[in-house]
Amino acid sequence: MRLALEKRETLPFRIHLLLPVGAVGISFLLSFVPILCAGANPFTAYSYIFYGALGTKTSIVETLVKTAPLILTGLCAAIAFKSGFYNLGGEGQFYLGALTAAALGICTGLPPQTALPLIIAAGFAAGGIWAFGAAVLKTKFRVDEVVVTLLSNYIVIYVVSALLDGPLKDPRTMWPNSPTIMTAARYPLLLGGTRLHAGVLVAIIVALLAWVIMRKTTLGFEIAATGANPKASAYAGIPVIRTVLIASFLSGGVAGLAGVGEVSGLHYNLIEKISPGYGYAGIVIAMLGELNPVGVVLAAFLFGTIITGAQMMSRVTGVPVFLADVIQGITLLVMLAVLILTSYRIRVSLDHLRGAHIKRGITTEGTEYTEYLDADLRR
Amino acid sequence: MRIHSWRSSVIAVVSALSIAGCSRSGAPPAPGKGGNLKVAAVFTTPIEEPWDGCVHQALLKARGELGIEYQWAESVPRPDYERVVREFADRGFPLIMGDAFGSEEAVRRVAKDFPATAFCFGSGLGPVEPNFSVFDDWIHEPAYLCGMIAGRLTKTHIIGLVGGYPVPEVNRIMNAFIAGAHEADPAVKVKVSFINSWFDPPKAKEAALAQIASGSDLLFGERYGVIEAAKEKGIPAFGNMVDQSSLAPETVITSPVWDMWPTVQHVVSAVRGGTYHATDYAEWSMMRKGGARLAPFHRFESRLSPEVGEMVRKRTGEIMDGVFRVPINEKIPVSD
Repeated sequence: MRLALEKRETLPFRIHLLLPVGAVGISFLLSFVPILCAGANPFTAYSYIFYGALGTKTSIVETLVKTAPLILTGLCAAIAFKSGFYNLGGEGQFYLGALTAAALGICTGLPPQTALPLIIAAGFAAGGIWAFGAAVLKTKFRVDEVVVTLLSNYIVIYVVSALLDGPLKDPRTMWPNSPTIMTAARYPLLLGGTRLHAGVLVAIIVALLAWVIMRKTTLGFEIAATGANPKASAYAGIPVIRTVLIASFLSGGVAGLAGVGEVSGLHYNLIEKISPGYGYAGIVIAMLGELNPVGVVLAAFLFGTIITGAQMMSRVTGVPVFLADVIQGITLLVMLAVLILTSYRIRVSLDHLRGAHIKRGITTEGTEYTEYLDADLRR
Repeated sequence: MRIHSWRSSVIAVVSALSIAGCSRSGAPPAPGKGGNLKVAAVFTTPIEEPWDGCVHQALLKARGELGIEYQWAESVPRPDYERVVREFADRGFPLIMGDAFGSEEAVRRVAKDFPATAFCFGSGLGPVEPNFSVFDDWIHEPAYLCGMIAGRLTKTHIIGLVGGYPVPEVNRIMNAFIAGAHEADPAVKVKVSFINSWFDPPKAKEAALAQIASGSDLLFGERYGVIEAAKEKGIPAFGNMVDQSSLAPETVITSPVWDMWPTVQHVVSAVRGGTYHATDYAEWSMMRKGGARLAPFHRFESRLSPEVGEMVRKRTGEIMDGVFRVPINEKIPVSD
């Protein structure tokens, strides 16, 4: 038996809307297996995930607060992937944004009125420039961006660690944390008695902006075209290199904003290991959101819910919190499978069993010949 | 959407596998009786880690002996710490405990938002009225006693110390150990390493092996992993925080032991009796209140010379009587 992938015609838009929903549904079903293995009732487990994440005012706020950085790192991956620049450096770019926010936030010399806008801009630039560097290496020297962006995460994380053990160390506690940033450097709180901060709004606004740019502007078209086929785009007169450079800067910048949000909106200082993998989760979220900014927001909210609810689920059912990671992983795999099946159909061919892979004939000179079409298959 | 290439799929799978930020949570406790005090604890490490383990053990004991209802969350990553503490406070737990270090400001903000809840946290800073109490592992006294024994026993006059992070609470235990060693043998030299983790036994073991290679014939393992190295190389070692003799009875001479029971007993009865207020529980973790002690010598009881035993007994008595004060030095210790 022979399996082959065959290109399908494009599917209608409404099917595309259903894909992630279907993928999430299948993933939840598949996750029954680990939950049952942990000795719990899957329905109880899921209901506590959703209760833990959305059951009370505080938990809804916490879910939104968790969603904000995931939206931004999701957009980071979506924008870059759309342009064909595989930026896996969201984690490092996140840290650079957080580092910038903490470093500027403790400078008491900053004028209070402009401190926050300045920090936001600087955090964006810090993440953006880091990704831009990798894009320069890719476009000028053909250095593989996957390797560069992924490995540069470790450089940033260790530099941040070193700074927290040195110049940025809080002299009050002497722990590897930065001192607390000044009030003017913080995102305002939106709801008293909770942690809902303006950074959540920023994340949503950035997502809308990204949607407008990707769908309604020339730049968005150029990014998508470059990602789809750089050679054809160049032939059509699109400045391919410039487009990749711009997309990389925007991508890294958005991840930097996620870091700014965690420092200026949530912790008010830089802590070691401030990201529990937001940069990597962003890649999964971008795939689940089909690289569409609105899809990214929805996928980020789903993941925010699962991560926030997992603690409660775990305490009630005894299923380890790791289940949240398992669901994320399964969701990604299912989504990728679904995406492949919507672009391609699997053709099962039994031709070779009927000998169709051997072509026989007679040449014009009159000699008989045998041609093996699938020579390697026969071995 | 089109798939750009198979590569994006591979990338995405790889990244999904590397998603960090895992945490683990304790099994739900046995349901308590109606009027039981509900206590929650939030830990950044697994409860197998000794520091958090000490708090956890005392709370388990309180569940059995004081009839509290106890829930805990362990391995909570720092960025999620405030959220989990907030969650317990929001669910109405009247007493919440844990390790605030590294989230000092964050936990204090939660305490401010829930003034009727008692917060009792391991912390390097002071208490805050009305509801934020602090405690810590003030076990520098038994660490000093261990240092004295080490100073007497070392033949190479080199002692190795492996610690977690060079933070004040670790520094003062290691410095007390070094001070004790110097009292017993002024010629002692120390090798100091930090593994920059609270729980990484392989890394601690590696650091300990390096110290043995550079001449140390006695080790003080502030973190887990050191004793394994000592056992492998056949040299004696001191544990920390809990009695670690059972890990390697032929290796571990004794350990400075932290006992959270006096603190937990006091804070639980204060919350129950309505007399709770912000308190610095430091002295409740020291020897005079029973919050710190030297672990039994077990197999080393008969191996240590009577003179060493007498020296330790005498110093212990002086500490308990308040006539000898172990110096508190929170500077980062360095190798000689």
